Amino acid sequence: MRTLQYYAFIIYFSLLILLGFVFISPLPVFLSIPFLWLIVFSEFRRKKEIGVKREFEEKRYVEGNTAEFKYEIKGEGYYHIKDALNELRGYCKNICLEKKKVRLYPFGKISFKKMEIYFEDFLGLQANYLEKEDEGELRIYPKIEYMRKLQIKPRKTRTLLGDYPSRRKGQGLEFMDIRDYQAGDEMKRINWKATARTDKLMVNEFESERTGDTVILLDVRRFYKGEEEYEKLLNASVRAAATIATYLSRTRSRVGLVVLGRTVDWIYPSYGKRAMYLILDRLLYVRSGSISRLSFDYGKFIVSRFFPPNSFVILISPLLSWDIDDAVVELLAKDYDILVISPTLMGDGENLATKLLRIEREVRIRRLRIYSRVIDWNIEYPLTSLLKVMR
Amino acid sequence: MKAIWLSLAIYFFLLLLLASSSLRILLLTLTVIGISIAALFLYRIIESEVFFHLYNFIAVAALPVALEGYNPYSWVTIALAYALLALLLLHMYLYRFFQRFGMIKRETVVYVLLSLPLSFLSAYIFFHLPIGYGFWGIVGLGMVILLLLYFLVRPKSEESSNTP
Repeated sequence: MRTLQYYAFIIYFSLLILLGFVFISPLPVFLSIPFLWLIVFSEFRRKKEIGVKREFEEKRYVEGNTAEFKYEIKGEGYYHIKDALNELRGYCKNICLEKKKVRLYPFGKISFKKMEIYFEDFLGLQANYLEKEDEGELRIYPKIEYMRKLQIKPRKTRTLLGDYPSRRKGQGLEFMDIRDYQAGDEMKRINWKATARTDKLMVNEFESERTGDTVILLDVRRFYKGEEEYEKLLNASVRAAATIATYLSRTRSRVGLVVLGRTVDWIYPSYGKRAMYLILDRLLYVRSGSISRLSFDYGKFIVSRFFPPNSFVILISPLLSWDIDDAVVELLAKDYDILVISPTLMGDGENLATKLLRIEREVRIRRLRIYSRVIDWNIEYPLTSLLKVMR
Repeated sequence: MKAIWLSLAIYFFLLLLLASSSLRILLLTLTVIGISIAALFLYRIIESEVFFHLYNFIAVAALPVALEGYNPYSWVTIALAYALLALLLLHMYLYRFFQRFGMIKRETVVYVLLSLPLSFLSAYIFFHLPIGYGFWGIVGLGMVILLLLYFLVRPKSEESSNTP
């Protein structure tokens, strides 16, 4: 393949000769000769095959991690190689090895489908272009904050044994009450101090620990055009959802996810690591797109249709839409326990629109606080610091 | 990166210096340089390679205009023209390769500069072995050029492959 420069030089050569004839001067003809020589140099150079092999460790990465890519480049000349993530430029004589370290940011899934290889000879006159099918993928999970113990817990629990203290008495760790000894009670439960005080055998009673269903309702609908601010809010919301999902998967409770973006998507509640990876994998696809026309009613419908009543709903939403308050009230009426985490970016925007948005949001938070627990989260600070003090 | 624009600036400056022997030639050279710079600005806006070659060609065309007052058969004039062309070719190659590949190899620069003494030698041979300046001489030269052009722009044959 010849480059545009090759044809440009041919035109330079022809036009300069023409100029020489038109102006009856040998100088333009002499000036055309170097271009001819360059073309001749390039024509008589032996061409070599081109190709690229790439290696990288296909594993799960967390955003901020560094991945190392190794490229084995075959060919001679200047090259420009482009795949789904990297772009390499340089010069190679025969076989070259290139290493590239890439800091993976932001979260998401990168599928390597196509690789473009472009080689140009040393004079930029002959080129070789190859577009080959590529394979492999990189999963970059959102950054997760570590939480040893979360203070928030559902008010209502299921019948199965789990990690959440329930209102029932039974086997557990949290002290609840003292009662008279009954036949069959374990010796280790006898409260000796109370026994000495009352002169009859007394035993401790504990809260029974049960499992609970938790739904993470992630509201990432886009209502305004501020690309950068929206991106920050979205990233913070996804990181919060990933943090909570990872924590909950370590407890013995079922976790589900509902994503409200341009469309509605959900994952049925399940246990353990499976639930964690299902949710994290789904979160990889959450992206900022066009402005959403979706009503919050869809989210409410999915929660009430597919998740049992008594579930603990963790709503992560910047609370920018007007229809959230009524939907939350309806969910509460249907016996769901709701915790609202509202990420916000306390920007310095002092224009009227920003002020109005801020006031509307504050009113919404005040109203929601009447019915449920609300965390007003400034995303410049870690979420865990707020969750630690939340009860 | 400074060398890229420095070589072009020196080229234009030397053109004006050489054209300063006559006001008419100076104005003509200034006009051609102005057109070239206008095309350069257009290229910076549109960033199409066609405009890159356009402003460079106009810059090359400014060279015979600037040297109009000199004897074109003189070796000094030809050497001067090639020296100036070397500056422009350097600008072209440095700009193109740095922009596309972020680097330029010494080999490329050597070959670009080598083309100029070879061209000088070609001109020398042309003067010592003239094909004649009459009608048949011009027709013969035209035919050689046409043959050369045909040879250079002919479509390339597909490379043989062992795959069925």
